[in-house]
Amino acid sequence: MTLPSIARRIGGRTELGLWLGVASPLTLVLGVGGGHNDLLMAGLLVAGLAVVCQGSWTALVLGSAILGIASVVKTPAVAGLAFAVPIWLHVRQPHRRGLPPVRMIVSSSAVAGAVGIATMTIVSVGSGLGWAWVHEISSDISVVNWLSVPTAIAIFLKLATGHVSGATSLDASMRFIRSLGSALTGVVLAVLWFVALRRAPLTCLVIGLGAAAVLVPAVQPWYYCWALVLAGLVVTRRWVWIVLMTTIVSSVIMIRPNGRASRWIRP
Amino acid sequence: MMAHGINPYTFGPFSAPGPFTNEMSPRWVFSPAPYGPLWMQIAHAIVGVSGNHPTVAVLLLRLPVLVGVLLAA
Repeated sequence: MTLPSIARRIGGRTELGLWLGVASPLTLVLGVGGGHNDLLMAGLLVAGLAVVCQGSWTALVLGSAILGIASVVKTPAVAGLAFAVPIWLHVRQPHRRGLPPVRMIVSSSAVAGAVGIATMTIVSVGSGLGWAWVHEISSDISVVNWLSVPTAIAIFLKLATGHVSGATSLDASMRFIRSLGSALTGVVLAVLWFVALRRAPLTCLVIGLGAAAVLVPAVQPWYYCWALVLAGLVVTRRWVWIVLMTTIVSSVIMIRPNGRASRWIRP
Repeated sequence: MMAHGINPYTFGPFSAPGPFTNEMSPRWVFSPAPYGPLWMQIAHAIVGVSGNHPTVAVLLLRLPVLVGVLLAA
């Protein structure tokens, strides 16, 4: 119901969207089989955007609340909340060229931001856990594998400079390069947000979520679901499909049936 | 941990030892949770329903994930 409804408003082929987002082996084997909250976040993300795509102010308020709920399951959904604004503006005027009126950008951002943050506050305070989770996501995670680009660069640089024995240890140099990766994620998302105001907002969100899934300090293969859940609606080029298929199939092999990471993603 | 009133964003699971930490990879025993507060409440509720039984809890944990997949369909 949700992906088809987004496809009707924004475009894209529903069957491809569902095939890649819902029925892929990555979603079912690693996502559901592994019991990862990424999938609950992804589902709420799609549901929130489907509501936003209805185009009314009420839809923007309700959709932003759902995206706020998605964000307190797992933080990447905050990107979905931010991109709700360009997506909503696009749905209201699909044939517009250039930027929407500044007045509309500011007022819709204010509404989406206020509703999303209010929802996150209510759940955070209501759960009795407060805002501590905001800090926790930025902390350095002990997962070290080459799926995270900054981590891979850190390992490569240490190997290249002769630090072979400590190449995969989480030391100051790896933390530094990882923090550069996190900063770059923010820059990429900000640039894509402004591009999304002009054109192809859903594509921009998919690219942003995909970039986040390879640039964050630690990556697990099921993080690709963040972008893949929507990617089927926006990918048209054949080579991109081939890359995505290869990623999905190899992700499933990366985690062995007993739940441990396979030898070849652990450096 | 939450059943014991311990903040999962400050301490790792080692502060509430029991049948769950026995089944855990040592790597995660000292790590505070990286998940949002709603997910923590869902996990808390599932542990309650499972009667503190890790196998039952692990199976029940698939339910909210399945809800997520259905939400995207």
